[in-house]
Amino acid sequence: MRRRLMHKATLGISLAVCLTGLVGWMTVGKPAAAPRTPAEIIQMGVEAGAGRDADKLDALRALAGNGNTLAQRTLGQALLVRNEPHGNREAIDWLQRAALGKDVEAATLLGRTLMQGVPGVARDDKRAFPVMLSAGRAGHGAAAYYLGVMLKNGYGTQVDALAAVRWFDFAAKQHSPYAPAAMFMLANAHRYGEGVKANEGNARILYLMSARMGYPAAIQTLAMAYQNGELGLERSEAAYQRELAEMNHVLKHPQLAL
Amino acid sequence: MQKIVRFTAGAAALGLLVACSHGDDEPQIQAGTKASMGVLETTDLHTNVLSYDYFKLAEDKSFGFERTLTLINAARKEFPNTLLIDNGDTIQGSALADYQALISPLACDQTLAMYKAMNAAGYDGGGIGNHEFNYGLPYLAQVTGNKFDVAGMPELSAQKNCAGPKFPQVLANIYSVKSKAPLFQPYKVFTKTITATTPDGKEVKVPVKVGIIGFTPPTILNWDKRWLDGKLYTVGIKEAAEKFVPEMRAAGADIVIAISHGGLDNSTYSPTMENGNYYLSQVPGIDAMLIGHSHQTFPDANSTLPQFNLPGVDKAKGTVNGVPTVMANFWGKHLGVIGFSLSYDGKKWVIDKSKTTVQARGIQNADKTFVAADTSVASLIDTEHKATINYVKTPIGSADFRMSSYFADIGDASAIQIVNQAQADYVANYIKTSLPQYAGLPVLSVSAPFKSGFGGGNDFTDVAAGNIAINNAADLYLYPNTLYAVKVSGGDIKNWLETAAKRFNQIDPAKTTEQALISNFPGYNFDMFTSKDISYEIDVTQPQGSRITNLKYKGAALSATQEFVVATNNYRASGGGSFPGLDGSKTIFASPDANRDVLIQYIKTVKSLTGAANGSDRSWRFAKVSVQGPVTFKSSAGKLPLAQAAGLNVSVLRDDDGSGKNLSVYAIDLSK
Repeated sequence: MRRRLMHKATLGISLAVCLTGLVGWMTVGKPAAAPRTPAEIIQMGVEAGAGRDADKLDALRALAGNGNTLAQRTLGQALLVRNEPHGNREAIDWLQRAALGKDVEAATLLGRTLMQGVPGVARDDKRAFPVMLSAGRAGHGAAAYYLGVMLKNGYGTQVDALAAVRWFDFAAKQHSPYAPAAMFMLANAHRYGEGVKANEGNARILYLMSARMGYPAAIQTLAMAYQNGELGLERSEAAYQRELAEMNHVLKHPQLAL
Repeated sequence: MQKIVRFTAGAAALGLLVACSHGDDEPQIQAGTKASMGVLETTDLHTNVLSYDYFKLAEDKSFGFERTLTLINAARKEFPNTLLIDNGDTIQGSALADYQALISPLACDQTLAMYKAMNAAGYDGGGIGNHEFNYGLPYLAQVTGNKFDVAGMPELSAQKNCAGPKFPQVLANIYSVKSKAPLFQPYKVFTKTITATTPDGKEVKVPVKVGIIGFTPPTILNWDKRWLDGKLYTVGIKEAAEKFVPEMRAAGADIVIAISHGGLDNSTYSPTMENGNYYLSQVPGIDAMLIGHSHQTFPDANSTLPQFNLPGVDKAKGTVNGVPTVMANFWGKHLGVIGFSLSYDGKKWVIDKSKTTVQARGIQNADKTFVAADTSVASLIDTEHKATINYVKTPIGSADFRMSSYFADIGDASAIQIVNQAQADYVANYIKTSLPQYAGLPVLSVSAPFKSGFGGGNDFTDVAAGNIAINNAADLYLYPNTLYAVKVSGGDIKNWLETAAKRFNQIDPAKTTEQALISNFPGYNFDMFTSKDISYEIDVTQPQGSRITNLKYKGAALSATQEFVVATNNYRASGGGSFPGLDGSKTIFASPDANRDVLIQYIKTVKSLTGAANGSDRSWRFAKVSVQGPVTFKSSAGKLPLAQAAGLNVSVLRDDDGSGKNLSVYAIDLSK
C-alpha cells in the first residue's frame, strides 16, 4: 500500500510541475509528513472544512504537496466547503492533481464543480465533460449520473438521449449515493420515452426503487401517482398521505445537493 | 438526574460520569444469579405525541407516541426489567414541534411536550438525531437543558440553565469547533437496579451498570449547514466508538448500548458516511445497537431493502455482524424490543447470546385495527395540543378575493399568483443577501395548479375571501416541497413553457364536433408565470413543442440567451416531470425552507391580499383562433360566475358531465 502511494506521490509531483498556481502550496524541502490512514485524512478534511481549522488545512496541504492523492482530493473538498473564491480556485488545482493521480472520486468532484460553477470558478461544461467521461469509464457511479445529465442536455457535448439512458442505467446499478437519483432519471426516461421506448411499468418500478432509497422527487412522483391514479397505480388516499409524509421528512436531509 | 453540560475527556470527567455507581453499599451479587431485561427503543418520533394530523385537524390512529406507550406498558409487564431508550429525531417534524420552536418559542423553564410525555414514560436515556439540529444550536441547547460552548453563542457562564428532559442524552461524534470537545456528553454509565433470581430461586434486587453512547449522521454538516458551518465538526462513528466504548467498559459498564441514528451501509467505510452502523457493529464491546433514521423496520424477515440484505445482516433474527440490532420505524408506529438473558458470573454480568431476542412490534394489530392510546399522554400535553390547533386555525392574513383553481387551466391566476409572488420575493431577498453574483439577473417564479379536478368537482383549490389560516396555506400549496431557484436562459424558459403547454390537446380549428382541451398531462406540471414582466400566448392549434408564441419580457421579445433566475420547487428543479434542462444541473439555491412556509411568511408580511395586486396578473392567454366546433373542458359544477369574474370567455355546455363527480362540461371561446 505504502509503495503504491509513494509511486503515486512521485507521479503527482512530476505532473504538478506542469500545472500553474501550485508552487505556493508545494512543500519542497520540508520533511515528508507522517503517513496517515485514509480515515485520518478524511477526518482532517472535516476539521479543515466545516471546522475551519487552519492548522488542519495546512497539514493537508503538506500531505497533498507530497503527492498524497487522497489528501489532494480531501483538501479540494475542504476548500470547496469553505467556499471562498480564492480557495475554490485552489481546490480546482488540487482536484486536478488528484484526478491525474487516478483518483476517480476527485475527477468526479472536479467535473461536477466545473459543471456547476462556484464563486471564483466559472461554469465550464467543455472542460467538465472529458473529466467526467474518464471517471465514468472508470466505473464511478456519481460520474455516470452526471454523464447522463450532460448527454441528456448537451452540456459540453452533443445531446445524445440514448447514451444518457445508458449512463443513467449504469449509475443506477452502482453502489453509490447517486444511484437513487439515477434511478429517478431513468424512470423519467421510461415514462416519457426519452432515449428508450416509453414503458410506464418500467418507470413505476424504477420510481419505487428510487423512492425506497429516499429520493424526494421519486417519492413525490409516487405521491402524485397515488393521488391521481397514474403510472398504473390505483388511487389511494392513504398511500398518497403516506408518501407525502415521507417526502416531508426526507426533504430535511436530501441525499444529494442537487 | 445530574447533567453534564460540557464533557471534557479525561479521568476527572470519567470519574464524575460513574461516581454514582461506586458506593461501598453495593449489594453482593451471588454468582449464577440470572435476570432478563427488555431494551425498548423508540425512534424518529418527530414530535408525534398524539395520533393527530394537525393539517387535517383530525385523529390518525396509524401513528403517535400515545399508542407506542401502550406497547411499552405491555413490554414492561412481560419483562421484569426494562430500559427505555429513544434514538432521536424527536423534537422536530410536526406542527406541534414547529409551534413550540418557532411560533410560540418555549420558555427556558418549560419542557417540550414531547419530552414531557417521555419523562412521564420513564425513559432511561436518549440519542440525538439529525433533525434535532433543524432549529439551530441555541434552541437545541435550551430544550435539552444543555449549554453549548460553540461560536455564535454566549460564553457558557452567560447561558441559562434551562429545563430539559429528565433522562440523559448522549452524542459521541459531534464536536464543537471552539472547544474541540463533544457537544453533548458522549456517553453515560449508570446503575440500574434490576430484579433477578439467585441460583436457589430467590428474587433479589441487584445493580447492573448500563452504558449508553450516541451517534448521529456526520452529514448533518451539509443538511444544517446554515446553523452548523464553522461551529461543529463531526468524527466518524467508528472512531468515536473506538475511543469511548473502552472508557465505558473501564467505568464498569456491564452492558453497552449504542444509540445510533442511522441505518446500514457496507460501502467502503468513511468517517463522513451517513449510515455507518454496519461498521459500528464491528467495534468490540457493543452489546446492542438501537438504530433509526431510515424510517424502516428491523428485524423484518421479508424486507427487500438493500440495507437489510447485506452480508452479516440477519434480517430475521435482528443481528448485524452478530450484534443484536433494532430499528423501530417512525412516528411511534413501532417499538423495538431486544430481550437479554443476563447471568452474573461472580465478577460481572454476562449476556447469554443464545437467548437474545429482537423484535420490532407495531401499533397496528393483525386485523388492521390499532392498539388503544394510553390516555395519560393526551392529558399531559393538552395545553400544547390545543394551542397548536389554535395556531393552525389562526388567521395569518386576509384576502378580498376567492383564491381557486377551478379555471387555472384556462387562465385564472387567483390561486397561483400569490404563490409566485411569495417565491419570487424570497429568492430575490436571498440573492441580495447571500448570492450577490446573481444580483444582476431578473427573478421570476413559476407554480402550477396542484389541484385541478383529477378527483372530481371537489378536487380543486378553493380558499374563500376573508381570513386566511395556516391550513388554508396548505390548500394553496398542497405538497411539502422545498423552494429551489434555477438559473436559466430565455431559451430554457421557452422550452419550460412548451413542456407545460402539453397540458392541452392539439385543437383542430376546422372540426365541428366537440374537442376536449385538457390532455392527460397532469395539472401539477402546468407551470405558469403570473407576472406583469413576462407574457406569452399558447397556441393550442399547434403540435406540442411549438405552441408558445409572443413570448416577451418587459414588453420586448424574450432573448434566447438572456439569463434569469426562476423560483420553483425541488421536484421541478431536480427533474420532476422531465422538463428539458431541469435536472439539478441548473439549481443555484436549494433552500431548506418549504414553499408553503415561504407562502405563509409572505401572507403574514403582506397581511391584506387584494385581487388587483395578488390574484389577477395573467402572464399567458390562448392565442386567438376561430374553431368551428366547441372546445370543452371539465371543472366543478356551478362555478361559471368565477370564470366570468376572471374575464374568461367561458360558457356552460352541460351542467353534469355524467361522471357523478360534481363536474360540469364548460366551453371556452378561443376567438376572443
